[in-house]
Amino acid sequence: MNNDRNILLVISTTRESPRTIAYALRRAQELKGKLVALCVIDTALPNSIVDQLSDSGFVGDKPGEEIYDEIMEEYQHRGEKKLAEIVEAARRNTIPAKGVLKKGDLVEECLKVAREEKAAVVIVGRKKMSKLSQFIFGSPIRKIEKNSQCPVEVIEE
Amino acid sequence: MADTTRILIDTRPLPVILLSKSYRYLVFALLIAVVSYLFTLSPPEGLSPQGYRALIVFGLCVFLWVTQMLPLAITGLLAIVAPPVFGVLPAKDTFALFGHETVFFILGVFIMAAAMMKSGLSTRVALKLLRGAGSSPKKLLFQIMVAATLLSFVMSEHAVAAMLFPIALEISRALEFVPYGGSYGRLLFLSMAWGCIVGGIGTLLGSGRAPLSVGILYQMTGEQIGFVQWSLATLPVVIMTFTAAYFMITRYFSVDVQSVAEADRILSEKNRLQGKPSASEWFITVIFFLTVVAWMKFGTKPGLAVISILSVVALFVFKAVRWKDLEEYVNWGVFLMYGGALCLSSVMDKTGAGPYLATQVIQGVGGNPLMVVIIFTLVALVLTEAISNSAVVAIMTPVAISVCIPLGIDPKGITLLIALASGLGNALPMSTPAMAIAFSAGYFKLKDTLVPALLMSFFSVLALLLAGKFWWPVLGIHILK
Repeated sequence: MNNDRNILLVISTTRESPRTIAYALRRAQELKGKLVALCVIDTALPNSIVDQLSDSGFVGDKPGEEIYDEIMEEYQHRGEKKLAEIVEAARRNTIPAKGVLKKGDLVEECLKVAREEKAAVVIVGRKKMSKLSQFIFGSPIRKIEKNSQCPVEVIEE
Repeated sequence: MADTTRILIDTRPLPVILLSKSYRYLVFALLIAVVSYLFTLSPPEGLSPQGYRALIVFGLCVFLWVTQMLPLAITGLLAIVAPPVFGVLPAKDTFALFGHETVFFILGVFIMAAAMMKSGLSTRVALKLLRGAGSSPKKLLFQIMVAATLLSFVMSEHAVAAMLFPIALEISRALEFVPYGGSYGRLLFLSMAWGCIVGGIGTLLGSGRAPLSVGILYQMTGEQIGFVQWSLATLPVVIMTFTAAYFMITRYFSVDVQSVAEADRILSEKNRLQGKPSASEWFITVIFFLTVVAWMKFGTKPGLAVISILSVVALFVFKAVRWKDLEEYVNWGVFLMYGGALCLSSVMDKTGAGPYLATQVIQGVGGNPLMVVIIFTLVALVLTEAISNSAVVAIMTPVAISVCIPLGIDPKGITLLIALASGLGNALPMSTPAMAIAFSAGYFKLKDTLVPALLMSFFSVLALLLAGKFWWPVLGIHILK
């Protein structure tokens, strides 16, 4: 195994990424590198729910905090499960692998882990987005691509 | 390398990136420029300078409520201070409107709901209502909807959704569901959200928008809708929309699990762990029932607000709740939002801006009363999918009442229609916090709910118009006099 050949696979708790995972496993076999599966629990969604509960629903802080914790706990549970499945799949293919679960901003955490793990390539899946949406809103994946020190490969799910 | 792979480069132009970072400030600058320009113009014919300025303030608040560029409560505060700033009404008049009875009724209702949540009474009731589903998946969905609906009769539907969400999550875990792994997972969360939405229109306690609309009606016409009249008027709408929602959930989607016995076991266990009700829970239950009876018997005199505040005092006499607890469960912004909305409706009415706007609307829609009623109902239903339902009531009720009076439409009827329609947003995550919470579970996406939500909206309008035509006249509310 070569440390220069670490492959960082980025997955999400909010959607399935079968093609991305399969592709990352193939790449890890090709490069004979270690697969690092990263699941980032994005805090933006639970934060937006808490804001909506507070600003529109006029619900107090405590129920907001409780629901934030519940959502994060659920996402964490799902993230751990997904990572375990990926690591298991990698081991079945004799690919060294580990799972990393982080909370926070997808772009920041992805770039941080890519640096820490000395990733040779970052593999990330995304759903199809129209040209107009990409133009207006951009996407976290674009930010990763722009700021990553290693190549980023994007798989259309 | 597979053909599915390609490397993308961020090609967004610099102006787009800059615009995305600074649009908020640009919009505010533009808003100030537009408002300043409008103030330099002469009032249109038939509208006093004071009324014209009131109309600009109204437009400004509508923009801010719709876009939510400021929190709703802060726009509410702006609605109180803008009239004196622009010389529409003196400050002492607008601040006095903030002390409206409705604001204090809502205060009492929110504090009582906070006591129920803090003591665990609401969770206990929810768990009791979810008992005994056995292994029947449809029965469990029905019970979730019943629990959400009944609880939303007595406390804010948003708080009910927040409280039921962990229970729904626990059920989904017990049944080992995964997002997009099947249909039943999404039904669990959809039945929770739709139950809250349907229940939220049932009484004056399900949300702040119901008392707000009653307050605006009273302020503009002197007419009242009491606790009993409101609840009776909404009852058939609740029954019809509940039935439609249940059939939509169980027929449109497939119930793809055979048994929910494991969920039933977990709910039974949670019920068992609840133990016996505490003294606080008993006090709160007794005080709540006495309060409802008092609202029914003495809602007009001394009034709903007086009774609800006395009930709050009683909660503290029996030490059923502490002030610290209230601060955690009550969002005081609610009073600023509703106080501001009441102030704005009064400003519109007193300055003649409301009647002027009404004349323009009547000219625009042709003055057919039935058409006016249908248009206002539909607009409320559509608007509430995209903006806060309280904001819909705050924006539309004063205009609708002003329009309806000259057309011979009962202001009580149109108030009810707008308040109910604005509570029935059921498709988008931004329509109501209950839907946002349900979406957050990750079991369904917008495309999954669009068609059933559209059908539900159709049934909702039908239910509202049927109730308005055949039931409300029995209660003395004739939409078309």
